[in-house]
Amino acid sequence: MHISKKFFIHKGVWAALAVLLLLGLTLLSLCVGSVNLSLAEVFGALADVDSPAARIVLYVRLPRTLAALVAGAALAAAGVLLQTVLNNPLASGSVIGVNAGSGMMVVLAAAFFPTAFIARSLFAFVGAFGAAMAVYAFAVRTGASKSTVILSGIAVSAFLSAIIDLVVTLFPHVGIDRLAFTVGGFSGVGMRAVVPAAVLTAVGLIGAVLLSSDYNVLRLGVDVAASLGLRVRLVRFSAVVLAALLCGAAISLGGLIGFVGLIVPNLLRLLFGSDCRILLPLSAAFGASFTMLCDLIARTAFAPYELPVGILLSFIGAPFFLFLLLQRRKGRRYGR
Amino acid sequence: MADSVIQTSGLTCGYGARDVLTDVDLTFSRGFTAIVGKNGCGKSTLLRAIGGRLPYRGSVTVDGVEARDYAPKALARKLAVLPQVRDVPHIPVRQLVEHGRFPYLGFPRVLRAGDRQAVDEAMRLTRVESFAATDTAALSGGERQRVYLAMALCQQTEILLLDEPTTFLDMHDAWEMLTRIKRLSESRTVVAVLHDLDAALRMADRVVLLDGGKVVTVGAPEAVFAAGAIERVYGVRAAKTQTEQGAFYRFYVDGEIE
Repeated sequence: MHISKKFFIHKGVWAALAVLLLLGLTLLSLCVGSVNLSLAEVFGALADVDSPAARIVLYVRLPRTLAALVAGAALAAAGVLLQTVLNNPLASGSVIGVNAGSGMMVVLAAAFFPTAFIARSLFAFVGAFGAAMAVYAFAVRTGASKSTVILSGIAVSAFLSAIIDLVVTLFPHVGIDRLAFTVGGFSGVGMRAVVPAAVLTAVGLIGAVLLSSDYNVLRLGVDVAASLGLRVRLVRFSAVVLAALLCGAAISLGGLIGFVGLIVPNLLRLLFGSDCRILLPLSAAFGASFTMLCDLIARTAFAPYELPVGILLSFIGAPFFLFLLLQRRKGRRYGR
Repeated sequence: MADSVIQTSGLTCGYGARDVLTDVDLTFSRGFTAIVGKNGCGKSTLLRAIGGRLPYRGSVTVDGVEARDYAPKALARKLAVLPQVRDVPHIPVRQLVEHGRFPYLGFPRVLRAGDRQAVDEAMRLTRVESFAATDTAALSGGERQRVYLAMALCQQTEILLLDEPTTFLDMHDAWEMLTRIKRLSESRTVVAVLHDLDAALRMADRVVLLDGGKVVTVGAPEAVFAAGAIERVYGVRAAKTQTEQGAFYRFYVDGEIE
């Protein structure tokens, strides 16, 4: 609540770093690819939309870069919200089935409303919300341990992923590349998908930052939070809705991208503690940078072949998840 | 602060279909009231009902207004609750204490000069200023309890409800906490659930003895002890020793335990 000058300077430096990193990676992502472009060519493309470079920048790299930026920011912020509401640093959209719920609705939307891209984002939100509410209700009503909640989320995730496979198999015309979607990637994404997802992400992020002080009170536990006059159910519900909105936006863009919501918030927690006023905006910024960087590596490291970014994220995220589990077993502090 | 009063009348409440408290009529006013009784007799349930954390039948009024009719923040400005079981977040001590100002903060929850003053005062009263920047989770049990008490004091309420404030504390820390609570009760209504009968009888101004969800007896510690109700309820023998430092109470089981 009270923020000292020193705190501002310290956090301000990191915030500036986050913005610079984001800008730098955005420009790099626009420049680097199968055809490398200079900064002048990239800016020239923005000015002259008929130039050859413009086709690459405006129709391929810009949508892809923005998709990675939006999805990364959304998934990392959603991770903070889910971890706060479930009081569990292992929670994230990909781990507890929220992403899979969202993905299931995306493939259903693609099967039944193939041309409605806005509807796809909304369907993604509905799926994420349904899965998040199911896990949240399970955790609250049963008072299950943190590990049980995570395990049940993994089971829900597997079940919903099976439905995704079923729909994609039964409706091969859905226009979704099964492998790319289930692994997660931004290949072929267009601006008409990016715009609604970006709007939903902006709404989700603004809402989350505005409510971040209330989420901080939630960290004290339900009884203490309620005794301080916090409307616990309402605040928790708002966190679930916003997390679903963010996950839905990300999944509608890049499929089942995993682990961003786990890796980024937990690393930042080690540096800055769990103050949501700091963690939410920084997670969004670093989540966007991290996802863009991974996408950049995924599409350039094995050129001319291109990896879906989800593979790279799983390479990093799965060991990180195990690391968190081990730290937890040892009773060590892996997040403040 | 005005003399505040909590009144329960025909209070019946519990968890699900099971009533834990039945027909409880009590009045709490300024001073230190200790609630004692065996495990499961409804001590914490009573605090939860007064604190607005449990639906109830009958009536619970706080300053003349039914507890369930208060908006959550309005009730939090009337009474502060220190629950028995709490999460231990990894946040700096001062930040945790600042949360005590939450009931007074409008949107967007920014502390004003008056709030910061209240935080300073609460930290001074509980002697936690020296570790203001320390991670709460890194503190000892006694220090942590003082920090939570500071947070409760930061709410600047006339009523303090404390659920087993000395549990998990060593003898020194427990006594220090009780002394602090006693001092606070000179200007407040303090209701504390205590397991330590000796401490309750020595420190409290009034003792409420519960058994099976009902009030067995209420009164001054000396009177409650003399009535022999504690011995009957707990199934123990009691002895009182008068010393220069005041009275001490010992409780023991007479005979062998099967």
